[in-house]
Amino acid sequence: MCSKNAQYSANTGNVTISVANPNLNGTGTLGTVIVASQDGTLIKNISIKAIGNTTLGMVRLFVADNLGNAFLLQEVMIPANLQTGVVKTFSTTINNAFILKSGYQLKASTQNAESFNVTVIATNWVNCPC
Amino acid sequence: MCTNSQFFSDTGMVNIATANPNLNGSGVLGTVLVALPGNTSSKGTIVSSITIKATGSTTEGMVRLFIDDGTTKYLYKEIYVPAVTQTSVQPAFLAVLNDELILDPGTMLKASTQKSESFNVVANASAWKDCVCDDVSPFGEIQYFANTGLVHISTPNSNLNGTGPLSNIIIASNSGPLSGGTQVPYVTVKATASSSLGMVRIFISDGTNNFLIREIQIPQASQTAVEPTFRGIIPLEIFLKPNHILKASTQNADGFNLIAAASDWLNCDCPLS
Repeated sequence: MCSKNAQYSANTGNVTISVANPNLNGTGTLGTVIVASQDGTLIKNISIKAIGNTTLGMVRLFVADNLGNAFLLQEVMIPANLQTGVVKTFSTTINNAFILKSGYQLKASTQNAESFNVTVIATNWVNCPC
Repeated sequence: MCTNSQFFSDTGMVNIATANPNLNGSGVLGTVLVALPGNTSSKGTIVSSITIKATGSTTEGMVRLFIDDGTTKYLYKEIYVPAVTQTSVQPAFLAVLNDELILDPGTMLKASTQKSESFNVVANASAWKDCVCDDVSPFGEIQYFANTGLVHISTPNSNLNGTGPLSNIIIASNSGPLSGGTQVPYVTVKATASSSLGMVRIFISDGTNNFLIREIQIPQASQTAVEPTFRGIIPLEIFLKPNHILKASTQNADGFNLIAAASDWLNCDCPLS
């Protein structure tokens, strides 16, 4: 039967990045935040949360294809921030919805050797058969 | 209840350049789109937007759109064209009409230009076929598949006429007669290094001809460890016909990634009415 519906399943991606990488061309150390699967993955938002002090720098997000080529998608400027018992570490959420082809990956890097958790809230979908 | 429909992307494209001051449908008109004829079971074509993009400098004038039912050509709209001097950093004239237009099968959308200046006219359209009405029919649904387009460009190309080096951002899938096409809501342009004042251009190709649809002005920007490179999100909301291609070029030898977060759709089979 051909259903109007698709089936959705949560696909939350997490990675901690901390190895300095100044490259914009997709080379160097990248962390894999999420791998798209099934008929595709809808990324609803991306959160970046420092887990310590930060200096002025950058976190970069890349889309990588099935061949391993990584394409710079977005840069997020990181401010200098001193974490204390009452001062939070840096945090930001990017709310651009983004559809990722099955097998493609969202990756991340950091300019400075500082630690960030990158979390993606996403859902995979599977079309019901016709 | 009546069941659903099948949808098929039907991108229409033409370049017009021959002067025609007439409002009565006579003279040289370019055919943007022919709504699929009824003998293919099509019930009509929805034109969701029309892009008019000059491929060079313009003087004050007019582009006119006509609806041709095969017998008579009816003036539908006039689009005022201002004087614009196109340069490597100044985009040529662009207008996007978002008024939805529904064409009967076989009806044509045509265009003319007041002045002998070059314009691409691109209709973002989809034809539909009705499934049979049936209280219990489960047919006529659509399946969607993510299709992410990725390309890096850096070879300079100053042409607006579709010649010179162009790179494919995404190719609309064609997996058979039920393939509807590919929907591209927007394209992200992200520089991969410092950029100089220039332009990135986006084209639609039918596999043979390339039609300019957008120019994105690129600012001068110096990339550092704490200064991001240029990034732009270009809303397109375009439906690409199967095998049609979205392409890109850069004015200067600066590096850019173009990323299209798109989805292909496949109609489920159904008995057509």
